[in-house]
Amino acid sequence: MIVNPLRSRLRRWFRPPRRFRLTREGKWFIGATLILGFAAVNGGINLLFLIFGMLLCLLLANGFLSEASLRHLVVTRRLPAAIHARTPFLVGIAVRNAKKRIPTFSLEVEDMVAEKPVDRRCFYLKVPAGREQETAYRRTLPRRGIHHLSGLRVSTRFPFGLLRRSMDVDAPAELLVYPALLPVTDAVLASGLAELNDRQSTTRTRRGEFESLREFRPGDDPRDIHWRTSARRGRRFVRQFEGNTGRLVVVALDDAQPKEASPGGDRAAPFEAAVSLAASAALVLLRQGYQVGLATSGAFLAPGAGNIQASHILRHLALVEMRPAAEMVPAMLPAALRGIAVLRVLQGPQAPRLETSRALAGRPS
Amino acid sequence: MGAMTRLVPAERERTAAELVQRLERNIAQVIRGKPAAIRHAVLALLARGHLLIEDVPGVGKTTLARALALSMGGTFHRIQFTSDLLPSDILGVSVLEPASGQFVFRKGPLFANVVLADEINRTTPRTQSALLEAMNDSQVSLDGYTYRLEPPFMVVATQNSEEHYGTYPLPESQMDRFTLRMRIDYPSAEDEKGLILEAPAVTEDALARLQPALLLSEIISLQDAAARVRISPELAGYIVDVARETRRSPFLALGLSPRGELAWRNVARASALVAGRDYVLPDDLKQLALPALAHRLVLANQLDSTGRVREEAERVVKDVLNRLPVPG
Amino acid sequence: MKFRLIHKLTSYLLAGTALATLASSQTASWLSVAVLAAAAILSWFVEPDTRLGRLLDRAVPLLNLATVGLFALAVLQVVRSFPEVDLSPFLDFVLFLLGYKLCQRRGNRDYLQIYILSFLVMLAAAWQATSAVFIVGFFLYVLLATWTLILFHLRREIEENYLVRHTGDASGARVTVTRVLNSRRVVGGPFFLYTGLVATLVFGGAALVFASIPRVGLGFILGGVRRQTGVAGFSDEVKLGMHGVLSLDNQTVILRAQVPRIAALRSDDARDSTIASLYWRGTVYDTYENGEWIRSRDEKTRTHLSLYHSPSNDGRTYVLSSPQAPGPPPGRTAAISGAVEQDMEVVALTHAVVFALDQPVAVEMPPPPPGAFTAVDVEARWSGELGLRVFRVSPFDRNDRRTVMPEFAGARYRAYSRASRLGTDGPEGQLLPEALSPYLRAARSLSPRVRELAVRLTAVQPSAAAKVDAVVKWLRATHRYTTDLKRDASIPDPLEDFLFHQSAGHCEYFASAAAMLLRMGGVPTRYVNGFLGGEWNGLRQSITVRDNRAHSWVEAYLGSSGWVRVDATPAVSRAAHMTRLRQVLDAVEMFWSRWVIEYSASQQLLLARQLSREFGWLQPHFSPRGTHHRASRTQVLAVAAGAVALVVVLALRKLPRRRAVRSGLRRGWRGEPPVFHVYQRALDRLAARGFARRPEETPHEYLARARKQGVASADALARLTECYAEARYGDIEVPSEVVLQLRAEAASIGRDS
Repeated sequence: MIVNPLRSRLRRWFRPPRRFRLTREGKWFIGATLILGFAAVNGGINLLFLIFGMLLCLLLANGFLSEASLRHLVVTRRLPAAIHARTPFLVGIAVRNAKKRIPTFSLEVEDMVAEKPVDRRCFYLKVPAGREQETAYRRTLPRRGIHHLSGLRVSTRFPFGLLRRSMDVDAPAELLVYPALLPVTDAVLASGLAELNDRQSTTRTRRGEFESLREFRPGDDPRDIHWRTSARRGRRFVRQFEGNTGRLVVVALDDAQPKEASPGGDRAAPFEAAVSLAASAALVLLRQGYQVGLATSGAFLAPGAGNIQASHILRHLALVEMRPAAEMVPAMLPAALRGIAVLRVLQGPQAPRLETSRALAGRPS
Repeated sequence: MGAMTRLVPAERERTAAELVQRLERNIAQVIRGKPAAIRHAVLALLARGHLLIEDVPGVGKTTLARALALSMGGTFHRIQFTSDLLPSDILGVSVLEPASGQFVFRKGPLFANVVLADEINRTTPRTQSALLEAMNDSQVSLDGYTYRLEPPFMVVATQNSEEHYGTYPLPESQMDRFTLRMRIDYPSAEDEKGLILEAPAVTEDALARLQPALLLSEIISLQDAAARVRISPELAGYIVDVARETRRSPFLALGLSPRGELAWRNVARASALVAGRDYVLPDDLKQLALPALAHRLVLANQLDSTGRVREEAERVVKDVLNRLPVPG
Repeated sequence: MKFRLIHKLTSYLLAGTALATLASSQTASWLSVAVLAAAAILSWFVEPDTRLGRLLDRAVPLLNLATVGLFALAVLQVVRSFPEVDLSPFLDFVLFLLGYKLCQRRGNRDYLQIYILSFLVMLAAAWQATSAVFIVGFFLYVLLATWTLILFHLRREIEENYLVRHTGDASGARVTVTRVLNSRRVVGGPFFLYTGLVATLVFGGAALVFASIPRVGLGFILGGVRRQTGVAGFSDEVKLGMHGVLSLDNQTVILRAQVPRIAALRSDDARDSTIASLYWRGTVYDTYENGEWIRSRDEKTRTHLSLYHSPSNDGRTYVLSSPQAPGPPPGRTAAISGAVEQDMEVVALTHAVVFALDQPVAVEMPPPPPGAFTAVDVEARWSGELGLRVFRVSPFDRNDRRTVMPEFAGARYRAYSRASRLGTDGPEGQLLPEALSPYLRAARSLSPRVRELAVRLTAVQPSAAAKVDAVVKWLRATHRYTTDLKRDASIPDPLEDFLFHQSAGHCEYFASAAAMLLRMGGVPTRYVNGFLGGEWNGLRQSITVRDNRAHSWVEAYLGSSGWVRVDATPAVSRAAHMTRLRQVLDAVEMFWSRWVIEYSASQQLLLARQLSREFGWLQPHFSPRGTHHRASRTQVLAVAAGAVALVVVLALRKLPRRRAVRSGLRRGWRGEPPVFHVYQRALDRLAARGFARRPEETPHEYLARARKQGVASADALARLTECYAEARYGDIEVPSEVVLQLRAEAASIGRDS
């Protein structure tokens, strides 16, 4: 959903960034003013003209004061670190009043998606001059993926509530929404992976037998760097120990388009469920100290650990799309990872399920 | 997404719903034809609460409790409450071990995952209060030491509704500690016939052969999931309104307490979780209102027979629900 | 101060200001104003949770009944007053409602109603106000209205936004609202200062609008006659015993006169004493019958005028003459040479009369200002009385005066008078006896003893002057002056009652008595209503005559002296000198009445001309001759309609065309999700078909019942209920395309296919 920049510019030309709209009270007010004007002109009573003038000037004052209120405001958005689908998250909106003396009253800020406001309003009763105030709104997004926010709409009905004046601020943002998380009990994972780990050495020490070399990844212990190879190749390489191998897992996601629809009638549901399960399982494993990689039919993410790896995996899973069955490309795993544990996430009509197996190099498992 | 997109319930809750279904199916193997009773038991478990079964004898209270314990792979103890039962008989006692010369605490039957407190109204108030305190705190304090009751911990207490000769019926404040009060009631005619035709050994055998359907850790994660179910402020207001209404009712001497409100909310959350939702619907609240609330209310004119009291209290609750508008 | 308290205070001050302005404009009865003021003060202490508040709560049904009853009564009274519609019962009703609402302040809606009611009170005050005090009230009202409306808006926003659903915690929200309303930091001194400045600008703007909106005259749009603003006690009828003339409290200014001869006097005492004896002649009557003086409209009594052109200002001069007097009527120069000049300004009266010092000889009317729509002219009445008439004038031909306008908005003119005193040569020479016969008619309602008395008093006197003297002396000796009249109802004629039974009366009685007695003694007399004396205003070098100086006297024909003024009333001294403060106030009042109350199109054009002269703008020019004045009215209407259309187009252009409106997804005014609206509409549709959701039913229970009942398209309702429940209880956003689909389906819910 990339908005055509030209179109948005044209749109902004025809619709000025500052606009006003009469509120319900404002309509009544104008009606009363017109009736009064009629009565004054018809009846020839001079003092009624004075009152008519007062009503007219109050309306104008509303327009001017609301305009003055909206000037010199700096509005920024503060996004949370991670957003998961179907999980509420808080978006902070900070308003700074850059005026020197005049405070801004009764301000409302709404976030906008494609020039349409989202129905969460942040309200600021009074932002004193030169100060900043921040408040947050809570939102839950139903789907994973990229979510665009186009801007912020700042509006006020100050001072009399007869007009609503609003101003659109350009504040484009892209929210990357990670898949919804499911509670994956450790039991499920532990039972499956424990089998695989049985065959590995049970030594608890870090240093087992030296097995292979792989490229240095942030988070690796620098003491493991194999300097000779690194000097030769020009990049850093670390020694891969058996113990480390034992704690390697690749989460393989079955991203084929589901053949039959789920009972709910939604074709994509099993796939989404599988994606969520994959994300949840990966996070749990990472937390447990595994080094987790990700494999889908189109891509492969080498195992790693830490928050950065988590965000890589989540990012990938946020953006992964179903692949039509005909295009199914078998996942290729690099030779170096032969023999590591693979946690397959399979789609199912009712619910996704997990399967553990061992990776055979060059072939999908 | 051009076509009509049916909103898919949240994935994690669907998994929870299936887990619960597995549990219930397992229990149903030995309790026939009582899905509501099984459901109530499971809800009380997920709400981290305790169950009170007020019923006639011989309808399968023990079977239900034992089946529940077995189905979740937990331990089960049955305590038969008699009038001479002491607190130490249920909590445990410290004995002197001659070999080491130390006092060792031997845990009483209360230390189990599911404890059936049978005929709780037969024992002295002292023993009752020992039990109830342990239920409340989830721990036992003796001789300066505190012993935790391992979660999941649930007490299924039974009380014979008709009998009251030589009994110490639970006072209202203690009734409040039970999340739900339910009856199992007599089975349907067919089920009864089936029961009789079956050889008795089959039933006991079935119970003995019952395998766990879930792990204890899964139960705990289900309990956590239930606690995370969201309830909207409107419904919270509705709970409060109902409580206030009961306190105002002329038929009641004592209305719903805040503890009762929380229990109601917890069990509604569990119900939402079981239905596969991550938010509470007013239907969850309304459907569980009778089991969750009726036993906490004290009638203004207490009649002698316990049975009539129960109907009366339920009637008051129904009346309050019919009068109050549901938000939304 | 707490925010809540400040808001309450300003609201009360607003209502109080409106009330005070109403009281100053003397529109409503003192009683209702006083009662309302008391109720308002009491209501300050009535809060919903106090004992008084609870007491009032219990009285609410009764008060509601009273409201309905009073409204019906008001409607009845207004209907009964047709065709002269008198809206004052409505005003009383509004006052009652205001008092009621002040006692029943609960939420924002009640405050809003209080503001609307006080606005109506202010309107009523503007409708009738004539004094300059209104401007003070108006300024205060603008100031307080600005403050109050802003505070009201803030309060509304606080309550609306802190109770919005997604702040999460309902009980917490209520606490927050209370905390904010009790906060002292929301508004402070600088806030009121700045908004006070804004209010002043609004006031100035209002004045500007007032000055610039074209005045197109009465009934321009709908055609209708406004009630005359005349509140003067001076009336056209004289009925003895009716307090038509005398209201000593009536401070309304009737006329202002600049008399150069008096202004030239140096000594204060001389001036004061001269002013005290100034008789301003107004209406004249010749026939008395049964307590009432009327004009017989006998041709013999008609005033004769000769019209001359005034060279100095291009106006018209009317010279009074009498056809019976020998010789040709005097020319203009002859008539006015040596006469006392008075520049008169008469305010709006119910009865438009030329006032001039006793005895007027000529009246000069200035021409109407160029482009003016109306002009005032003199018309001849009876017995030397001159009336004023208002004509609609064509702007192109000032001599084209055709239509008479009913409203009299005051006039300015120059009068010339010669004093009439005993012994001087009056302007009228010998009149023939036929001309005097109307003035000798005696009343039939008087019994013979009156004539006996008259004969007794006058028979012995040698001359008419002596007769006059004797009658006046007798009257002054036997009766004293009072305004507190007593009446013996057994005597049909009040004059006879006065003469024989009462020992006191006011000037009407003295004058009537003198007139009748002299007539019966053979001296022709006529009865004059006017004003006596005045107040000197040193600031403006003018004499101000107020309504409380209304006076009656007699003119007696004394042969060669002509008509001579006779004042039979015992002298009552009145202060003739205004204090400095009084002078300033008087000057202000004069300015106010001329430039605000009587602001008219002619003044606008005058102002426009002055401004255009200053700024060199284009002078307003008129379309070429030949257009009827009716056409000009159509032109103005067309221009006005064009202006209104322009404003409307401008306003519409600025309205944003929001996509949401186009796609039909309306949001609730509190920002609720659109699916709520769709659900609610579906429920309304079902309810209209007789299947309404009960308040204690949950959405799913309702759905189940609908299914059982066999409601059509229950599946669509099921989908809608699911989405609605998810959004409402689960706070989960429903994608807009889904909502659109639901909306399309919802149309079929409940409809029997």
